Amino acid sequence: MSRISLKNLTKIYPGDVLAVNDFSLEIRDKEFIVLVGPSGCGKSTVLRMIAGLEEITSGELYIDDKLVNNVLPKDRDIAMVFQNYALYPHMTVYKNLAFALSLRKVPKNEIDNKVRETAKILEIENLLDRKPKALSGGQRQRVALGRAMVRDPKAFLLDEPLSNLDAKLRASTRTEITKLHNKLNTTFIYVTHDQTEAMTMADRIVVMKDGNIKQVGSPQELYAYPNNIFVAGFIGTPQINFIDVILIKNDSEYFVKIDDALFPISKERFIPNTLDNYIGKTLVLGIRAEDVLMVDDDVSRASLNSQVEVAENMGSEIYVYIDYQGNKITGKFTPDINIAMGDSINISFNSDKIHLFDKETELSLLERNAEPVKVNNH
Amino acid sequence: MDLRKINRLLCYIVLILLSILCLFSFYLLIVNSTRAHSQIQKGFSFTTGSFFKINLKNVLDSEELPVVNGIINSFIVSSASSILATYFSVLTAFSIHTYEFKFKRLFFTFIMMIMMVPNQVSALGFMRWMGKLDLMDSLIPLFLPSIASPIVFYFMLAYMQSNLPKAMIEAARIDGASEFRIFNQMVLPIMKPAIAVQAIFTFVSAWNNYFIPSLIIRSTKNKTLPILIAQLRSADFLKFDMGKVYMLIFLAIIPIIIIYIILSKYIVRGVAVGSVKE
Repeated sequence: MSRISLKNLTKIYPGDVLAVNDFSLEIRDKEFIVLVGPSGCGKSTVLRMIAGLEEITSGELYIDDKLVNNVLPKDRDIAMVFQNYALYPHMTVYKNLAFALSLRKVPKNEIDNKVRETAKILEIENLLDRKPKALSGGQRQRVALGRAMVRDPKAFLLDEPLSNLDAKLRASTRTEITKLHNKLNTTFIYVTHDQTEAMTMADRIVVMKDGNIKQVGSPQELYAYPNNIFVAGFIGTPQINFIDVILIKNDSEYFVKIDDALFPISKERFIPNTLDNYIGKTLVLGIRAEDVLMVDDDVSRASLNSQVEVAENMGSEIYVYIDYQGNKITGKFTPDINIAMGDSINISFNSDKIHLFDKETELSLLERNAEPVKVNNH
Repeated sequence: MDLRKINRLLCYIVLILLSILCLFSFYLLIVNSTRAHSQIQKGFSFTTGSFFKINLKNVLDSEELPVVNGIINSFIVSSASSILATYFSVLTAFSIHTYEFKFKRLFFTFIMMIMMVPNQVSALGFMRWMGKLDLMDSLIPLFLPSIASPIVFYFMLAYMQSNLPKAMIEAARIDGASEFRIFNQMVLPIMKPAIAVQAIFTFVSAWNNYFIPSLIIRSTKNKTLPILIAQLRSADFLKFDMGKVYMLIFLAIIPIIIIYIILSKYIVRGVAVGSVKE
């Protein structure tokens, strides 16, 4: 069992640089948690504090209910995989894997068994006599994973482990790490700046910005109910579209107004009694690319007459970059549509998928249908 | 002949001329060590003489010139210097590279400042200090100061910055290694090429050092090779024998040549060090 709880962790670097601010999180046993955010958001610092590589300025860190703020990294029983692999260059793969065990004075034959077993799982048995220099990036990555695995640690900490791999290898290694998590059945804490990795691997995602947590939730939850403009913009590709709108109430019906077009919204989807506070005010509308619709010029339905700037055919879908009066909107359509650069089209929105954000606080006005978070759902 | 061949030929001619220029002094040395004093005084000759054995015997048998002893002394001083200089420089560089501590920049600047001070400036103070410590006429002052070698330290630091990723040290910490084990089992092996290069340089400069030994060493039994050579050169008119001088210089450079040949691959690698990040 390995629960890790972070209570109000704060890290201030010399020169009063606030890297992590009041970070609290309960990481459940066997959970795959991904910390994601732009570079410099403090995600790696959190990981390094869990590993014991950074001192904690204030707050408490518990591993299995034991306070470990002042426990040395080697005594925390965690393993870490580094971005540049950090293999020992003068040792063979075998010795790289065996190093931690030999320091713990494990009997030789036991080490040998463990190293070979790990090598077998990672399919690097034929590389055991090589030195890291003679390995490809993907192979080094496996060795780095193996070095973490041999010890059966309480938790795996992974610091952007895929960022040095090429795109194809990255995708395949991603699925392998997910498989590995299932097989090892241990807590994984994974840091990345790539939202695709976060979406595809995580049980829960922690989105960070400027040392603060912006939102914690399952990938589906973050995608469907982003708390704020930052999370909405960070999660999902292509990026969500934002347009300034004005909220209007007509009888008991609510609309958002873009120039002359009125798009209806259903108030049930929003936090009760909030919409009324915003009537006549400017809000930020968020709409994902797949919820942008192409419609006929039809007076019965609100639409925006826009220009197609670029159409990218991806094979299974087409990304269309649209310009509406200087607002850039991306739409995702099925490839059977016939569209070309410079075309004039009418677009509308799937009204069940419209997000609205307060322009000042940047918070979402959407009512969250609390979804149960599934753990070990792989 | 096309242009490329001519070009190549010109390159070779220049290189050969340069090599001759470099090697000529060695050739002169070897030839003259085989000739008698009177022959050498008559002028230069390309052919070797027949006095090699006699010169050798003269040098080795001389009572007031303990050559074998001098070689041993030089060897002790040079080896100890290079071991101390490299080990402690790597240690210092490791601490500056790896740890965060108060006044780190100040320490670094201080070490760099020492690098700017020439030996000659501090020699007098050093001599008096050694006198107070009762270390005059001992070999210890010739090698012990190598512990603090700012130039070696700076080279080690530069090499470390491009070859010793901090993540590797952190990985070793998480794996359970103590700091001292990390230094001995991780850092030293990775620093091997840099250590080899600096060991050679320190060895050679200690081997050739005349200034400090001439201030410290008094008794004949503690003299190092450069002092013996100087002594031989300044012998009085009647005893002066150029053949002996050349022979002694010839003996003095043999160990250096051997070490260079053995470690030449590291020197080439070491010079290129830091230019390419692997």
